[in-house]
Amino acid sequence: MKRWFWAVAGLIVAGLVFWQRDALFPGEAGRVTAVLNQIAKDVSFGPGEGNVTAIRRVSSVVDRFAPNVSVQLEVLGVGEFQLTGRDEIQQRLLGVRRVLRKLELKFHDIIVTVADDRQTADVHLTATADGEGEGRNAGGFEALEFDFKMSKPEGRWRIDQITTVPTLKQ
Amino acid sequence: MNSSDVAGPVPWWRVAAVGRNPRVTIVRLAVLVVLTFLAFRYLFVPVRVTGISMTPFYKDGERRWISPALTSVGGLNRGDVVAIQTSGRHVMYLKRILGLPGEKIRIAKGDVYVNGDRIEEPYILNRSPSWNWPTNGSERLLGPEEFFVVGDNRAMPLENHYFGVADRKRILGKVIR
Repeated sequence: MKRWFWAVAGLIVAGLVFWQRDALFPGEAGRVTAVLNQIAKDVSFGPGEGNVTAIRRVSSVVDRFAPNVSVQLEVLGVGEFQLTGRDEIQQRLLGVRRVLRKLELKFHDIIVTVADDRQTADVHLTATADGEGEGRNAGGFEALEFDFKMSKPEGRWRIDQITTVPTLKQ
Repeated sequence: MNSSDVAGPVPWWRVAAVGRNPRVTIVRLAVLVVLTFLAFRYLFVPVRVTGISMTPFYKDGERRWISPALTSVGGLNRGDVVAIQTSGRHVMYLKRILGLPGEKIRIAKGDVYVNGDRIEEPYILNRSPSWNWPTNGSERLLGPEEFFVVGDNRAMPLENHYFGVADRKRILGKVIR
């Protein structure tokens, strides 16, 4: 009985360790995933968030982008647009906070491919944004696929480029 | 005579926790875990509908089931509602197949034409005549692994409705309920 108990307990622990291996032993891919999840958390906001907190969180997000970052977005109902550099991203993030009362951004199915030199990474993910606003067209649910190009120039992963991946072709 | 006879009766709580024969219980548990994993990965994948692009038959917040295995057996046909994967399975698009590989597709004033013939769509309640695709008025020829998919809600503006051509490898399976 005891032998079986310890065998089962060992299997369960091994399974849990395997399941949470990225959290317990984070490699570069795990670190990239953690950075992206933190960005999603900082972009999200709820009603009644103060200005100081908002600016701090937006700054934290912008800090994770390269100075010459390029973001190409194709949003349904909005169209295609491009943002270049940290300032434009900061202005856009603050603008979203003025239009929406609440935003929840999440990244799902994050696939990270780290280069052999461990200094660059390609990321493929799906982002969902669930927003609430006052206007007729403000808010709603949106899901989009993205490719991220990231690099680690000073020991910290940051985003160099974001492009929208069309799930359905035209 | 077995060991339990020698050691006395097994306490009821131990029977409740691991059964009369722990080895058999563990084997049963392992089989159950494997079967459950396989069933929810290949036979019946649960999804929750978000959004209005498939109304009226698939409403926001409803729970449905996708079957990758049955799709592999039965194939994909016109009129099937399918789940289309993004970078994984956490977020998928639910759309109806209207065009099959090798067919020519166009939408004119809300009506869908396949190889030049208008198809009947009894599941559409209202359609906007402003729907025209491709925008240059031509037809879209589907490749050998391409399916043309659209949502059922054609009353919504074209620019707010995500539709187009899906590669076969992105289609996880049909909605079975």
